[in-house]
Amino acid sequence: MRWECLSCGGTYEDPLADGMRYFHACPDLSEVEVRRALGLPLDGADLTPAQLEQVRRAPRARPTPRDENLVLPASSAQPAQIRAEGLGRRPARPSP
Amino acid sequence: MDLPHLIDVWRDPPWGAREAVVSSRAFYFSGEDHLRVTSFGSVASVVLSVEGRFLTPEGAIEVFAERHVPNSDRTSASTLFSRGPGWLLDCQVRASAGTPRRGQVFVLLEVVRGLSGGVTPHATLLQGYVTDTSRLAFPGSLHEAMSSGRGALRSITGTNPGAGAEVSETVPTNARWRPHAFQVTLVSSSVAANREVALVFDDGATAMIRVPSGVSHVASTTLLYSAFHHAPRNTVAQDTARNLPLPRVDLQGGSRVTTVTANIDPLDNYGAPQLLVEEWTED
Repeated sequence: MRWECLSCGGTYEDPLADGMRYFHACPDLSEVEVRRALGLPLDGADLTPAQLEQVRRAPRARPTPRDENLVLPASSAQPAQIRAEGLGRRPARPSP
Repeated sequence: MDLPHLIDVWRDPPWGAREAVVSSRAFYFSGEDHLRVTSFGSVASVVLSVEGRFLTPEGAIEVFAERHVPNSDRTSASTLFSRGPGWLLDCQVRASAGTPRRGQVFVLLEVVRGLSGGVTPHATLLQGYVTDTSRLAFPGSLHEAMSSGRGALRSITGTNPGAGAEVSETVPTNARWRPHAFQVTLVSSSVAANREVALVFDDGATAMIRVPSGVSHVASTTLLYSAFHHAPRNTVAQDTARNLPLPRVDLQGGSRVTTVTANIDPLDNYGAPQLLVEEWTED
């Protein structure tokens, strides 16, 4: 089944074609996503040196990321939980 | 009577007593001792069979066959089997359903005390990977570590990122990856800027290796970035593929393989990456 991550907009298959599970985790923010988050011009050519430095120093962690990798419980009797739910996921629309 | 490889049993010996002499390789169970099989599985629809022979104090040889279902998310699953008093002569573990490959189902067979609550392991009989065609046997099999030998070769299609986002693939919890190849397509928008793609390996937070492509990716262009061991750099434009050398590195769960793209535009679009990795289970 194909899923769309509501935190990062990525799409992925889970389970994969070989039957194994796929554990999606959102990427860190790209350079242009950092600029958008800081309210700066998206075109790098429009940035001042101070703004470029601001982008370089900004944290890259995505707000409310989804990470489906498991956190192992203290006891094997308890179910494993995913690391972060983020904004959730939904079935992806089929490609046009 | 001369039985092969494990046990010699004399019934009605010359001195009149009825007794058995058991090979030192047989394992005595007091009645409080039990068998526990623990597995770490990464593939669905696998059933393990634990089979063997048991010598009772009365001198009878009983065969047994127990069933255990591993999880498919690399977490551990355990099953306890009670045998009563006697000698474990031999046993084996095999995949009786499913087609796991080496690296996908790791098994530990132990002698424990306690059936519920506090279960204490006292001896390890078997430890290693099982498949549907190779099995672990007691006695005989070596105890192997999770990361020893060859792993399972997997071709993985990763997440297709949204526009303007980077590629990022995370090694799953309880897995170890050795990447052998990585390939991804980047379609640049019409906004004029020279992008440059780098492949970055990190531990989940801190980068360890950065492999720049050394290629200026101009606007309105589709290029295929292909990383593999000993990849030669492109010396001239050879179709739309650009090679990157892939370092020989082992990555633990939580580590990532990502792209970092200088001058990326909001409408630049990566496709889903394709990875060839060798994978082991690793708790």
